[in-house]
Amino acid sequence: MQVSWIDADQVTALAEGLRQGPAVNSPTPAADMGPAPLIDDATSFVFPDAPEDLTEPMAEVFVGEEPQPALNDFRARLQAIRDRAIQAGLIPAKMPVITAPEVELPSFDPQAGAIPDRLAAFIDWAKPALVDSEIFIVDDQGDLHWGSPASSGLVLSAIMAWGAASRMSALAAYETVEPLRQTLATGRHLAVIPCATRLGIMHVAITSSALIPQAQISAIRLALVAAMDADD
Amino acid sequence: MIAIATASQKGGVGKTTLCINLAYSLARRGWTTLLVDTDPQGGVGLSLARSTRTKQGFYDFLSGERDFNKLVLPTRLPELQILPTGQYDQCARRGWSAQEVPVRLADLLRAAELRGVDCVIMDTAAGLNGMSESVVKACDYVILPQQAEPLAVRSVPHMLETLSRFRTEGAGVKVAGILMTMVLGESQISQKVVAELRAMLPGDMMFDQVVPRMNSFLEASAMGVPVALLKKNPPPEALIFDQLAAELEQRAGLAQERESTESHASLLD
Repeated sequence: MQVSWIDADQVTALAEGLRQGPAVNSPTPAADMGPAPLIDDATSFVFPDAPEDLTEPMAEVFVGEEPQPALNDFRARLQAIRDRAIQAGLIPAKMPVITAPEVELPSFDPQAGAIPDRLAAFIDWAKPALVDSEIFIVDDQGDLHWGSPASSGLVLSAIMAWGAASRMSALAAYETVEPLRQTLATGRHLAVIPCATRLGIMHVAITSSALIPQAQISAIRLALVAAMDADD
Repeated sequence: MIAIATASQKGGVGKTTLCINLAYSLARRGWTTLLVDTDPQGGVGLSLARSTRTKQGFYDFLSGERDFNKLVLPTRLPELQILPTGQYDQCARRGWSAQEVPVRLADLLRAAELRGVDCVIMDTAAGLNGMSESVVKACDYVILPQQAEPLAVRSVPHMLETLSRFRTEGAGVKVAGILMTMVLGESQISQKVVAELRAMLPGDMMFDQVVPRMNSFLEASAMGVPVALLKKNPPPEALIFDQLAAELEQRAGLAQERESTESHASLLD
């Protein structure tokens, strides 16, 4: 005598249904669409000497309006997801980007001397243009030549990771690598300026509350190269 | 990370005992495990410590608390963490929107993943509706404990129908298996119920391991520990949950994840 009073056929059918993939009500289930074509019709190449009738699109008649993706709807949903992520603290809120006022730097006059003295002269020259900024100078081996070791951890990590990535690029072999610009989680801006000096690649890293204008970055690069290339 | 809910139509089938002991076994096996109590009764917390009654937890997160990490309680076992039920009544008085629940559950699972959790075990209140429905739908797998007695298993077709409905509504939750609980070794009826279900259901729909009805589970609850911590050397029944954890690893694909990243080390080298 069965004690569970269960209809075995019914339970077996239900269980089989659950073992299969999700039975989501989808208007165009992927399984029904067949394998993807090897060549996408929309981007496929048409031989220039092909007979004209072959270049005609396949007979495809749209009745009524062609369906358009609801882009506004997608954007609204993405914005809602972004807002939620910001509220939850998962991503930083987008802050208005403030660009530092352009301060015209005087031309840098490199002085001969020991490396620390030349770097000090470079910093003295650059400081007036870099208000509320912190400057680090790091060589290609990651040794810190200027800047507070206590606050350089994140900056050093960023420079080393970025340096490793840029060395893998073929561009690094014959072209000047572009500076890296990154907004940190704190909202400050990080600019890493690689400078090819006679002593090897040196990186000037600047964290600042405002974005440094491109003209100043170029001037800083030239000045550090000049400082490092000066006589001992 | 995988999220596993336990669910049953009937109350008192041993869901909370299962959750506590399974979470403990998974943690002992090296998985960083978060046990989440979504049952307003707060059975998980009440089973393990008196102080959890006053702590914030799952319902506080649901009703807007942003700092997930401050709600999670560490345990003596570093791999096992607990999110207690929290202040259900206070939160219920403030209320929450039903539409918000799936979003907050997704937030919770994302926060757990960011915390480095491998496996989330979610204990639910009896019945597959309301909050329990949302929790099951949010999870990757559901374990279905079934008390091994005739009246209890008669709800199995209803439960499977409900899960089929969840799937048609778009939930991706998969059945990890039906687990027979409170099995009485000396009762022919209890054994017959288990045998009947096994005969009807596909093999992979039921866990090989069953959970017997034993006094030691009561003793463990009384002392506020998983059964494995009842004595210095875990009693034999603690191995039931180790076996279950091993089965679950296979069913939920946890084992493959680890095998792909870790090779076998020699015993001596």
